[in-house]
Amino acid sequence: MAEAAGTDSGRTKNMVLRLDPALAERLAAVAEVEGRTVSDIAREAIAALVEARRKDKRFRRQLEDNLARHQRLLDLLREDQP
Amino acid sequence: MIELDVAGLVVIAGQVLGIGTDAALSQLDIPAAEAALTEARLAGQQAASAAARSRRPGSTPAPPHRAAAAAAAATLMHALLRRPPLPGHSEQVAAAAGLQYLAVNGWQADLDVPRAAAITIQGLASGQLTPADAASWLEARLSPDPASPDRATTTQTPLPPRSRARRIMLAPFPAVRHRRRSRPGPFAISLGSADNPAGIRTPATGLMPFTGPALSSVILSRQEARRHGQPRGLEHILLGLAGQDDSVAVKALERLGISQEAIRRQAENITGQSQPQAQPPQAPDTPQARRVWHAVLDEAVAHGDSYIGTEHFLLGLLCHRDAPVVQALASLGAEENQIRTAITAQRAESGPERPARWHGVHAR
Repeated sequence: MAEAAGTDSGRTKNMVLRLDPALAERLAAVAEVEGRTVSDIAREAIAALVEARRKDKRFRRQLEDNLARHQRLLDLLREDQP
Repeated sequence: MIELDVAGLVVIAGQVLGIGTDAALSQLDIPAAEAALTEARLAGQQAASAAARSRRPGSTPAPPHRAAAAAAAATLMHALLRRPPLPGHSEQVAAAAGLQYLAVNGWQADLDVPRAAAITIQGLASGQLTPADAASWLEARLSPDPASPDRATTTQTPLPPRSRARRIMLAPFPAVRHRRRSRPGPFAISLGSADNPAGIRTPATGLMPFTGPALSSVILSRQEARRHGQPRGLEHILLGLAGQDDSVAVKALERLGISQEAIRRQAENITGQSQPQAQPPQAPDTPQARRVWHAVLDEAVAHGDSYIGTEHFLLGLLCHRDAPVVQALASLGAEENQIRTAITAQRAESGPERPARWHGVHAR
């Protein structure tokens, strides 16, 4: 979907998004209609996706159960980190 | 298969590293994450296709497949380790992502010995293990997640016909030996022959030979199960251990004030509570006993041993904390921590057990 490029500067990170032409066209159209930049729209979309996943109760419960169940393994991996 | 996406990976990383999703997103190398997720998806599809080809016509499909889930999770972990999408702590993120991948697909990993799991992940990171090795290791430790509604109706689904885990777990010893010769598997148990040492072999560990007392205890446990007309269970494994006079396991328990006779009596009591089966057991081992095999290997790996001794069997039994056998040991004053301490002391004093020699015994 995307390929990172450029450098971090301050609070943002430059990225190049590689999209299929149809999706890129739709993204450009949305940006134009809303009077915003393509990168604004893309950033918002990614953040919204992350937020949706974060609020997904089942996903969160599975993750918390997993982390609790395998806490010792994760501790070992952290302790062994070079 | 339910696929993880980049957003899911961000949430996982934010949680496991304790940095939150915003920080995880700002640090994430999205192409690396995308590449890892794509690799996992392809590996899962390939494994699922292979399983579908091996399925008998007309049999009921049971997606998502155990082997496919293991292959996809192992590939995901490998990709995340090879090209970490977040700086630092790549092994934690990879492990958490792999486990979450399994969870969303209705599987849970039974990693009874965390150290062995850590060694496997580190082996994957260092290139000593391939994703296929890790997938084999993982597949044998998967069980349907009882909390998953997707799997609620699949807990009784038998293992697929050609599953490696099925070959490993359901085959009797001689059959495993035979299959090992004709089609090498990722996990094979052998009682040995003149030119073939007894032990357990996996791609990750190579041959882990049994010590003499360990081999004798395996054979004795089988005989005890037959004597009672039952599939081999934990109590028979304990009876097998109790019969090894100079073994590390028996000596360690004696350090805790538990005699061989006391162990045998407890195990016999439990055995007596189980009814003999009218017909010979279909499977040579109970599901609990099959799980012990994996725990035994995990214990040996976790201790850095290149062999399997009676101490590993004793520790392997402890993976079933609520089992009557483990409770019986506890009632005699042998809790897990005490057993581990006693084994450490015994090994320091007596060293490893003598290696096994070919006994000329053909177990059935």
